[in-house]
Amino acid sequence: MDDRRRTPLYLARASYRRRRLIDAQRLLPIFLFLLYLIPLLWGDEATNTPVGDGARGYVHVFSVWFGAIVIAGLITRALRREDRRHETDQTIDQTPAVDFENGS
Amino acid sequence: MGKRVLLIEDEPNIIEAIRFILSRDGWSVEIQSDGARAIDAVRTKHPDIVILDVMLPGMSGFEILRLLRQDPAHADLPILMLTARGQKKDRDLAQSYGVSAFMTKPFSNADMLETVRSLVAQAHQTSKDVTPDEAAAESIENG
Amino acid sequence: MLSFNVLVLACLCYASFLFVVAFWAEQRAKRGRLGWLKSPWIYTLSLSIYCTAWTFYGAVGYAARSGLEFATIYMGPTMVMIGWWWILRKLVHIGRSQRITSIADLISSRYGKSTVLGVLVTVLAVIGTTPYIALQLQSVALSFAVFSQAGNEGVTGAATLPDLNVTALWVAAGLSLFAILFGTRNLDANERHHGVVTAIALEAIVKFIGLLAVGVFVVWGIGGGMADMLARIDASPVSQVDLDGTRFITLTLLSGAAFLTLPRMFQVLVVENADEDHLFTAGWAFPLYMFGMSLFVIPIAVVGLNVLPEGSNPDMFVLTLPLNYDQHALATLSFLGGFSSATSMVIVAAIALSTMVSNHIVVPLWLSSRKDSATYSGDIRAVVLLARRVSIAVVLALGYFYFRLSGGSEALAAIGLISFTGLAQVLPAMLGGIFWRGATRTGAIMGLCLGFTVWAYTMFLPSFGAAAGFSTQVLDNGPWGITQLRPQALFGITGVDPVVHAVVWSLALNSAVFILGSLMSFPRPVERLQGAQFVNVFDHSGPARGWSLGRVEAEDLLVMAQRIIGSAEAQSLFQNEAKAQGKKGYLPDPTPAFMDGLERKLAGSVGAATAHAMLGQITDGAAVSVEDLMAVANETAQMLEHSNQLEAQSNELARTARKLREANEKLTEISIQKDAFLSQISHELRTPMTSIRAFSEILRDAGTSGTKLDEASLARFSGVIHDEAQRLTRLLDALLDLSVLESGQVFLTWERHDLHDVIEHAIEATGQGLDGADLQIKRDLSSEHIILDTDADRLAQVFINLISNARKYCQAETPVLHIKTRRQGLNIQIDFIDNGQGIPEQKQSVIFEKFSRLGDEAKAGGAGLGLAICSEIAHNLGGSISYLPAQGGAGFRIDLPQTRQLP
Repeated sequence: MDDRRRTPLYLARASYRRRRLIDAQRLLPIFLFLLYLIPLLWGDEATNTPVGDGARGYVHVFSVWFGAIVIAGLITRALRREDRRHETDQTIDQTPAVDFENGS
Repeated sequence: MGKRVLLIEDEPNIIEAIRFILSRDGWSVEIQSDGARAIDAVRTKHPDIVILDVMLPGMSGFEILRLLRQDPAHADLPILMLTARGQKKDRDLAQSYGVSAFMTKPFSNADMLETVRSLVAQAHQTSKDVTPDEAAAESIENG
Repeated sequence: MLSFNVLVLACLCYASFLFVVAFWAEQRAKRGRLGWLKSPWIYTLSLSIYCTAWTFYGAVGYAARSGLEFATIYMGPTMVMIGWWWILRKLVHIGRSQRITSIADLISSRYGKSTVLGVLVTVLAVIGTTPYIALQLQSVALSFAVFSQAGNEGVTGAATLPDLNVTALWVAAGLSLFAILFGTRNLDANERHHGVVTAIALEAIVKFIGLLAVGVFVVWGIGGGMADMLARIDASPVSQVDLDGTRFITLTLLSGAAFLTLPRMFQVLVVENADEDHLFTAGWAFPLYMFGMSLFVIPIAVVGLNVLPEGSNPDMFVLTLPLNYDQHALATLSFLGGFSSATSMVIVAAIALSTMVSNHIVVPLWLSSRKDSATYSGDIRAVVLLARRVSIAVVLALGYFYFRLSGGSEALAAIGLISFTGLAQVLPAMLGGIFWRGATRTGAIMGLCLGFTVWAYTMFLPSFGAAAGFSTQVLDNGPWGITQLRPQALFGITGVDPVVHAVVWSLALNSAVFILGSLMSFPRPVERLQGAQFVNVFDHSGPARGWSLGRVEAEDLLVMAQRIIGSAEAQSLFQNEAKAQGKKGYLPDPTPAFMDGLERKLAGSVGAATAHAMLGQITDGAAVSVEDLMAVANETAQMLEHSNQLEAQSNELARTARKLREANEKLTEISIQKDAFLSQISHELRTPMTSIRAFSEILRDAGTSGTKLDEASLARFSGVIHDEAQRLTRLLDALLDLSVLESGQVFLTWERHDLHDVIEHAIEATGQGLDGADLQIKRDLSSEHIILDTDADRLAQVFINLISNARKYCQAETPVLHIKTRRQGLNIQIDFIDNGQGIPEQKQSVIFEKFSRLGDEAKAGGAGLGLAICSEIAHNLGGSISYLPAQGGAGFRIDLPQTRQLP
């Protein structure tokens, strides 16, 4: 889809904020995934500890997991607040679109 | 006299009245109540006169009249039309199709008898002697 | 000691409690008082069917064997939920706007309402889910066994040990009963299964508390708190397991994919979703739920391995640990938690699968078996519901037989992942379908088939071992010694974990073929329309159309709609549409927009492909062509240029034009009738008068001229005069009655009456008992007892007229008249429906006019005033009478207010 064609160049401040929140939300899983994989780097045959490093790995994975949930909750709350404040703002989803392929 | 009338009508009480009036006068009266079979009845029974009602089941009286007149064998057949609606445009329509006489219900018995008699008498005077066999042959061709 | 019987009793009590809760929720929903039942929390809890018995019991076993790896199964869905619920949001939005009934329906609908794809996904889902159901049955059976062993240790030994098979059979039977009772109440995807959802939300709480309680007991009851627990973990063999990086990553992604594609998850996520905004809450609350469920898994595994005797089944630690410490209440709670996990999964899976099987396999087969009749005879709803009920039983029976055949083998432990991988094969077609307009049916079919084959070859069939021909010999050397085809080392890729191997190969080949196939094939018009609608679901304010104006009879459509969504709903749908178009009655113009809406409504009951095929039969295949597609494109472009206001105006104009056209048609019809009225009235009056005059003249002549009449003729002729005079009187009475009614000067005696008495009176007056010889009258006596304010004599007059009409005109061999009464809000509807030929459409709008009779009137005897009088009476009583089309005979509906409406 061609984004340039249907959204104005400058967005109102509110919808700008909303878009950045959505960006953050989309990136969150990627950060979560990377952080959650860190224990795979801990320990190996050379250090004589198992990959994942036992209890440390357990604590790490669950802390990262919980942190991500908290952040997700905060982002959701902020998004809902934005939505409620600008219920009438219609810059994003309401623009009608023509996107028919030209029958090639 | 032994003349034959074909009465095409579906109201049983009116049939009975007309049959009584005419047979008392010496006519033999045959009945056909179904509009769709009226034309066949005319062809097979060779009546001297047809009394035709307008509102009939199967086919309207006007339609029967039109079809009969299209057939040269029945071009001169006396046809008396009866209607209970009595509007002028019905009369005009019947005339344009070539009706011999037109009566509005309710009629007086005397008028009815008089009209039937005079129509048959007229037809006799002007008839070009068409034999029944020829008429039948022609109607088969047309059919 | 907990006896086995007490446990069974607890279980039965719990199950009956669930029945009560489900029933209560259904009742509340019926009364429209859902309240908190449709809150986002219920939605979030219903998602918890992701956590099955495989989680409740299996996660601990998994952790005991592979350490932290178990967390991957919950991390995947967490990632989807916390950040990527816009995928879900799009799915939910599509699901609602297209009335999707299942994941098979989604795929089928997206790719041009394809039957083939519907069947493919359904088969895949059944094959992939059956073992999973078996797993649930096994875990419930095992948990029973654990208890009874514990209970019987000191008593009699193995004598009273319950048979696992019997337990599983009872569980399967109970679950299918529940699923049938609460899962097949209604057909429409948009009417949700509140009972089921509420029950599984309750079960979600029970299993959460169960597992958490065991965890707390293990950490603070057996162990010495969190710090002590960490030390224990470090010392435990659980943390000595090396994590396998590729497996770790693969399983995380796989579980994320399966979260979207598992039929039961699709059911709760999309089909049962009542409000898109619920995703906001579920986005963080459901990951929190999974977090809670996973938190104590490792501690339980560590302590279990530590405390319990060597060789104890780690899959049952959740039960055996509390039992070991004689914590019977806790053990029972934990048992109920496990029971909840298993039952909720099985119920939802059975409902989801039965929807797919009935919509994509049974109904199409049933329809094609009776293709000869374009207007379907028989109630399709009954067929679909029966198909669903039977499917539920069959799915559970399959699960049970799988359980029996596999004999509770170790293979079941791996079933979770096998099932995940199989269903993940739908992912490329699903994501491609909602994000890429270029995705085609051909690509989707090819991808699915190949992915399915590879999965079956590398993972599913080998799990059966030698029984399926996959002996160690084949696994090691490949079939017929072709090493390139070794099932767990395709094309010579060795040394990879078998699960990773199967996931990577199947999904990679699946996606590659899907993309290639899509790029190289060309979609059909319907596919392109659907593709555009799915991908741009948020942009299209109105749906694109799928139907061009063909020769469609609105009446045929109504007949079909009634058979799928029920007569009351279909009638109100058609009536509303007709009203929106500015028309009266029940038959709107079959505009493309209406056809499209109707198709979607039907799709909510029988799936998109079937609904499309059924409408296609009626419309003579007048579905979209390329020209229509271009027309739609142009139309959409024009819509951009016009403002909404303009559009509204043109709609208004169209509506007015339609109204005018209808009014004009009616005026012409009426002016012809006015003309006819005079000649009619003349005819009606003159015909009896003719007989009267003719016979009275005969009698008079007989008196004056002396020609004698015999006695019999005399009696006959005066009898005719008498009868015809009476006929005249009746006609004049009717005319008078009508003119009084029309002028509104009629005097009505308003009293409270039981409708039943009025009908009874009318039937008596027409000389018809319930078992009348010529016309059979069928009634539902129980529904007739409605008290209403009315003029009983006038109302009975209407009924008498309708009954005698049915008697006169109904041409059926054994004429039957159905009288149905029902309450509709503040109104009462009384339907008179016979089984004759009905009234042709062009006559339907004039039958309530004066002197309008059908065809040849003479033998009917009446003057054609009956229905006109009925209509006037109904009007005077504050209601209306209308012709009810598409009832398989002539149908009349009388609408009356229950209480008198003062003007």
